[in-house]
Amino acid sequence: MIKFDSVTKAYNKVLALNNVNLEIHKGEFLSVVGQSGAGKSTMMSLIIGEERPDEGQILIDDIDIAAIRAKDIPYLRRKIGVVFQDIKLLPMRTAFENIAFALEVSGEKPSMIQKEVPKILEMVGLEEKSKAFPHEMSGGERQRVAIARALAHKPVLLLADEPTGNLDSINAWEIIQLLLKINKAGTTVILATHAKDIVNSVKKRVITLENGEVVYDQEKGKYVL
Amino acid sequence: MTKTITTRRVVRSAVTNFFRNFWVSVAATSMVAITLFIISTILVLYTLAVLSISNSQDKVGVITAYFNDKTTDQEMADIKAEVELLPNVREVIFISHEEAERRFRERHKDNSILISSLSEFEKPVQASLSIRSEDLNNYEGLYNELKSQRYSAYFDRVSDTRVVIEKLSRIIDFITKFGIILALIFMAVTVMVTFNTIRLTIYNRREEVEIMRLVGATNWYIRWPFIIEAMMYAVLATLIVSIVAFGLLYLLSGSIEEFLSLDSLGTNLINALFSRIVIVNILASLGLSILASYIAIRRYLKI
Ligand SMILES: Nc1ncnc2c1ncn2[C@@H]1O[C@H](COP(=O)(O)OP(=O)(O)OP(=O)(O)O)[C@@H](O)[C@H]1O
Ligand SMILES: [Mg+2]
Repeated sequence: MIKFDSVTKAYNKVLALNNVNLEIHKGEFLSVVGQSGAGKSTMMSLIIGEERPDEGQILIDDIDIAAIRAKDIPYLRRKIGVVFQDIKLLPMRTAFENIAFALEVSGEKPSMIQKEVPKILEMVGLEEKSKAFPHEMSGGERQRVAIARALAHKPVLLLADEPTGNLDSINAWEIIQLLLKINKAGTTVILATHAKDIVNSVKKRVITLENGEVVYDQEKGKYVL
Repeated sequence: MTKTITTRRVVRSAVTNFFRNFWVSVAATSMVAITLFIISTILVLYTLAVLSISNSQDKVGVITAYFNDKTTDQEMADIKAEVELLPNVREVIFISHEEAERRFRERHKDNSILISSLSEFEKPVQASLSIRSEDLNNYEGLYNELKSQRYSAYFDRVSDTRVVIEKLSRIIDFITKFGIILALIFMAVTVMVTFNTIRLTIYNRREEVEIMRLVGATNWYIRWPFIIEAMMYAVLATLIVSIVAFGLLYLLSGSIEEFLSLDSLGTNLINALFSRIVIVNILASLGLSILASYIAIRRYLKI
C-alpha cells in the first residue's frame, strides 16, 4: 500500500533519508526504530505530504504523493491518522470536543458527530472521560484521546511517532495494546519508537534506520541497536 | 448542506477569535473607523465644494453691480436703462433694496441675531443690477465697462462670479490633493494595523491551526476565519462611522444649506451624501481589511 522508491530527503545539507527502498503492505504493523536523528519522523512527514522527497518517489496505493496537488493534500490527511509524542490536544476543549474537532473540519453534520464520537471514545476505552478537559486526564488518557481523534475519519493508515515517549511503562504498554487492537481491526499502523522492550514484545515487522538508511528489515523483528 | 455547516463553523470560529482578543479587536476596529471618518470628511467637503461650484456656475455670465447708498431711485432707473443699451447685454434685472432685504431675511430666517442687526442700518442691504451678458467671451469688456469712470459714482462694487468659482476651484484642488494624500496615509496605517492584528490572531491560534492541518482541514477552512475576522472590523467600523456621519450631517445640514445658499435640496442632499458615505466606507474598509488579512495569511499561515 505504501512504497518508498529510492527516496532521499535532505534538510539544507543534513541528509535525513538516504536512498530508502521500502514496501509496507495493507494491514501491516510496522515498527520503525533507530537513534535520535536517524530519520524516523522524516519518513512520517513524507507520507502525509508535509515534506517532499528530493529524489525518488513515495507511492500510496500506486499514487505518487508528489503528484498530488496542494489542495488535495487535506483529503489525503483524512485517510491517514497521526499521533505524536507531544499529543497536541486543544486545552480548552473536552475529550469529546477534541475528537469532534476532526470531524467538524471535514464538514460532518452535528448529528453524525454526536453519534460517532462516543463510538470512537468507546474504542479507545474512554467513554467515561468524554467531558474531561486535557488537564483533567493522565498522560496515557490524553494520548488515547489523540489516537481517537486520529481515528475519527476512519483512516486506512495510522502513523504513531513516539506515542509513548512521555509515558511511564504501564501507560506506554496500554497505548501499544491499543495500537495493536486498531491494527487488528484492519488499519495499517506505522510506529516509530525508541523503546526497545516494546518493539521486542510486539513481535511484528521492524525496520531499523541508521543515518537515514534502512540497515535492517526483519519480520517478527527485534530492536537490534 | 455540508457547505452551510462549514460556513457556520468558519464564521463561528471568526467570531470566537474576535472576542478572544477583544481589546485588540477594538483597537483594530477603531483604527479602521478613524480612517473611514477621514475619508468621509474628505468626501463631504469635496461633494459640497463641487456642489457650490455648480451652484455658482449657474450664475456665470451674471455680473452684479451694487449701487451705493447715495444713488437715488431715479438715477438707478436711468443707469439701468443705460446699461441695457451697452453692447453684449442680454438682460438687466433691477433688485431694489427692499427686495434684497426681503431675500436676505428669507435666507437667514433662522439667524435671529443677523436679522435683528438689520434694523441698525438705514439701508442695510444694497440695491443692485444683475446684468446677464450675451456672450461669455466678451464678458471681460462688459465687466471693465461697468468698473469704468462713468459708473464709479453709482456703483459701490461690481462682483463677478468667476472670482468665486476660481476660489472654489482652488479649494477643490486643495481638498483633492491633500485629501488623497491624507486618506492614503491613513489607509496604509490601517492595513498595517489590521495586518498585525491578524498576525497576532494567527500566532495565538497556531496550535489549533497545526491540528486542523493534521486532521485534514482544507486551506480555505483554515484561512477564512482570519479573513472574516478582519471583515468584522470593517463592517463594525462602517456601522459606527455611518451612524456618526448621519448624526453630524443631520445636525449640520442647516448650516451647510445656508452656506451654499441651497434652499430646495435639503434632505435630498443629506440622503445622497449619506448613501455615498456608506457605500464608499463599506467598499474601502472591506477592501483594506481583506487585503491586510490576505497578506498576513500568505506570510504567516503555512499550509
Ligand atoms: N525541519 C528540519 N530542518 C532541518 N533539519 C531537520 C528537520 N527535521 C529533521 N531534521 C534533521 O534530519 C535528521 C532526521 O531527523 P528526524 O526528525 O527524521 O529524526 P528521528 O529519527 O525522528 O529522531 P528522533 O528520534 O529524535 O525523533 C536529523 O539530523 C534532524 O536534525
Ligand atoms: Mg522523531
